Amino acid sequence: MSKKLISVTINGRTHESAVEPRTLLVHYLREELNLTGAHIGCETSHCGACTVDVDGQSIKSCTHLAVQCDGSDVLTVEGLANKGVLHAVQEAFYEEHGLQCGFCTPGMLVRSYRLLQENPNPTEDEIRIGISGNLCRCTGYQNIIKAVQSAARKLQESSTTAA
Amino acid sequence: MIPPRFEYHAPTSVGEAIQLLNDLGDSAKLLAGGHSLLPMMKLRFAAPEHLIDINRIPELRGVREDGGNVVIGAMTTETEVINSPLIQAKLPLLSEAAKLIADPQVRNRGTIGGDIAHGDPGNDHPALAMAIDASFVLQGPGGQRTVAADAFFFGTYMTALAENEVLCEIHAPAFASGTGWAYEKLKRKTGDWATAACAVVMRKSGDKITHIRVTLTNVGPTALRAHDAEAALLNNALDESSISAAANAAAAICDPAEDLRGDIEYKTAMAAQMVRRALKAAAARCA
Repeated sequence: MSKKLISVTINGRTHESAVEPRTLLVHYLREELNLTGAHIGCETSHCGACTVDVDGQSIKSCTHLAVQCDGSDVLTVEGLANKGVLHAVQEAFYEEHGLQCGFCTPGMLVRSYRLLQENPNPTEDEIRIGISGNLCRCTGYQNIIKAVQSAARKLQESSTTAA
Repeated sequence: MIPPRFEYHAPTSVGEAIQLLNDLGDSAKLLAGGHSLLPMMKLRFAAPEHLIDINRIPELRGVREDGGNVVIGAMTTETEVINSPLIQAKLPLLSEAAKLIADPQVRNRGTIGGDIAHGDPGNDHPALAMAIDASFVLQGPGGQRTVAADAFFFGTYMTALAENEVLCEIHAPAFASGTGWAYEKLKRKTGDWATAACAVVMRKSGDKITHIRVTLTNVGPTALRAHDAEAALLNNALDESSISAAANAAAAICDPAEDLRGDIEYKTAMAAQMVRRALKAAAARCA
């Protein structure tokens, strides 16, 4: 089975790799590129721990082939912080205690980031529906919701200040 | 879990995909959104030697209007079905029902065509397609043919789609003004298939029902059209007695498989309940 050459931009950096067609995106990220932020949870596209952004959309990287990402732009949790400064979403999860064991957190962060790009001022219901593809077994979600609400306020404040 | 080894093909036209299907025969599978096929490959329920990825075929995407019909490309994702202004305006049942499928990430990848062509009775689009009188455009080496949704599903994972054909488009007449519609889906949790679900499309003239479709999800080897339930409603008013008659007629054709979602009796009772709810919800939307 022949390997395929792919060129994929991940967190702003372009990588050229030869991948086996059956390599899943999450394995490519973790094992080839040492980007271990996206976690392997259920492996059947239910839990959302492996969530990353591909071409501006949240997807589950356990159910996507690396070879399908040829020419794509991928964002993982490692790409959220900027030069050591936490992204507003990360800061909000930290401040609001939006995590306990932390296993689901990379997926929650990347999904929340994309949700707030799509809907900068979501209602609580919209947040719950928006993160319904990400399971957390610790928090009961309350503080995650608070964190997303807080991140929405931070992002809106910073965009108002910038304007 | 890693899928078994396969050769990967990424055609950029339907013609190229059909050529590959024709050459590779039953050792090949089409890869659409991948959210049924890739998990099945990981679990070794499927082990195709060749995957033909149809995600890079532009002609399979998009939603357009053609006369009184809405034409939906088979590779249109659930997210696109939800957000399409055309579907929202002309076939609102589809955009609302798609919100009940899986979760946001899966809806970004999962496609309407994949949901239909897979032939899984748990999928929602088969019953929805029957309820809106949809037809499917299938293309093979000899050209195109059109099959009504009603005549497409033969059994679990068995459809009218031949091994060397690609499902290209879903056609459905735009709802006439005043059409009522509903999809009532009972599920245990986000991402689960329906325990039972019912789609209804209804038109009324005064109190009298002049058009009615009642279809069911996941209570048989395929999605079901409840003809007897429709007959119990057509030319009648919607009241407690016609609702009960329709719900009982729908329950009579249910043949669900017992699983963790419930036993046969429970699923059949829930199907009847979804019929009752969907009829009331659709009637409330009739103008």
